[in-house]
Amino acid sequence: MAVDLLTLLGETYPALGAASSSDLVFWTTGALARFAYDAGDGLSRRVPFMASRTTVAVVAGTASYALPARHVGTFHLSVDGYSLRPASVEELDALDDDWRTYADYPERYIEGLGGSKTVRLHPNPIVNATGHIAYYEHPDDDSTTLAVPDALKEYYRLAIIGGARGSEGKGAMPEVAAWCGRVMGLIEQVAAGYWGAG
Amino acid sequence: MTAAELRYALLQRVGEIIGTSDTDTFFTDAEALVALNAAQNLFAFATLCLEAEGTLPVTSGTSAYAPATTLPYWILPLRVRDSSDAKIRPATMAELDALDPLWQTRTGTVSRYVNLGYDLLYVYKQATANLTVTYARSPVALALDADVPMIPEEHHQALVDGAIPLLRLKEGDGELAKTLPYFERFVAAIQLEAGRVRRRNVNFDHQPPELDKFDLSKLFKLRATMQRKEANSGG
Repeated sequence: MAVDLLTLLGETYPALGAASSSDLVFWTTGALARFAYDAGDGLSRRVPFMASRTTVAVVAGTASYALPARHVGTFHLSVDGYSLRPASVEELDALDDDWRTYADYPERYIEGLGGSKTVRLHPNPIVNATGHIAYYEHPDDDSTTLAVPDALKEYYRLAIIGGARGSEGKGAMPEVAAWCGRVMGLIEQVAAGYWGAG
Repeated sequence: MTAAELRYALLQRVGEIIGTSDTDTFFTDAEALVALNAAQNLFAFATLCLEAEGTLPVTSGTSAYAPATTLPYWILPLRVRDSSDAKIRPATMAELDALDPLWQTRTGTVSRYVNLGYDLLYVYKQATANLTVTYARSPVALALDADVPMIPEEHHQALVDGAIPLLRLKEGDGELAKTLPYFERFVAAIQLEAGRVRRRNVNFDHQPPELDKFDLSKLFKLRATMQRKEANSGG
């Protein structure tokens, strides 16, 4: 299921004192959409509800691979069906001083080495293989179709109203923004119970 | 109650003039319907009271599926069975790794499933089969006057309680604060139904959360310091 952002915005305008986008006084449609995108982005990092998967062509001699563009965290990584364990640089330093050059069948992986959006396999692969990664990502904020469940539609609606009313200016209603935030918090806790906390 | 009846009850409760020649409205029918649908969506999400059953075809050679594509209004699985009605048990990735290092490519009779996030479901083992999935679903939005909410009828009035503060958001301040006891009643209805669902679905793979364990106190009050001060006009 997907939520159409433009339809959602249209349903939200009355709560902001407008009949349509042309009636908006204190906000632009772009700003309201940004509140929705930011809320979805934050939620997806705290509650891994946007799960996805992809394959990676593992090449002999190549240890690092780019993660998907919207990747937030990894559920599971495997190479040719064999699961890899997550590791840290500290663990590998303790395991082997020459871990960066050691080559064999991969058994572990490190994410975000040096702050980059990559995953590094250890040992360095010695044969070509197929990697599978199950991960969670943040929503695409360049699309007006939010690929999120219908059940979270109200989270987005409250994020738009709360974001607008929480902005400084003549349209500010801090009590509305605070209440919207609390209801969003309730929805988030329920979602975390279903889809796990990230 | 029908959508028309609920909308009437809601607009009456927020003081909208109905049944006179006065055509000026502060809350339109469309706004009321949006608020009612929002309340129903929240209710169904927090209670998992709406269930549906569908078929998820699986094929040998594929271990991962996107159930929301096949099963409409999908929220999460409650029970998965194979064609012989045998239960397929939920598992985690770590459990499958411990069970079988090559679980992602193993073929055989499907015996486990892993649900990740909202729309990713893995099966172990791989087979060509049709799985029967009982799942929690979102409601269909109310659109026409004759539409009836999908949640249990005893809670239809609770939708009005939940919709009132959502309508009053555009006024904020004291008007919103006055409606929060209605929201408290709405949440109480959610807790009641969620408890009933947990007792009814004790053998299902997922349960609605126990809202009693959440701190709900701040949902039912506005902080006085955050309310705008009334102008010095004696009011």
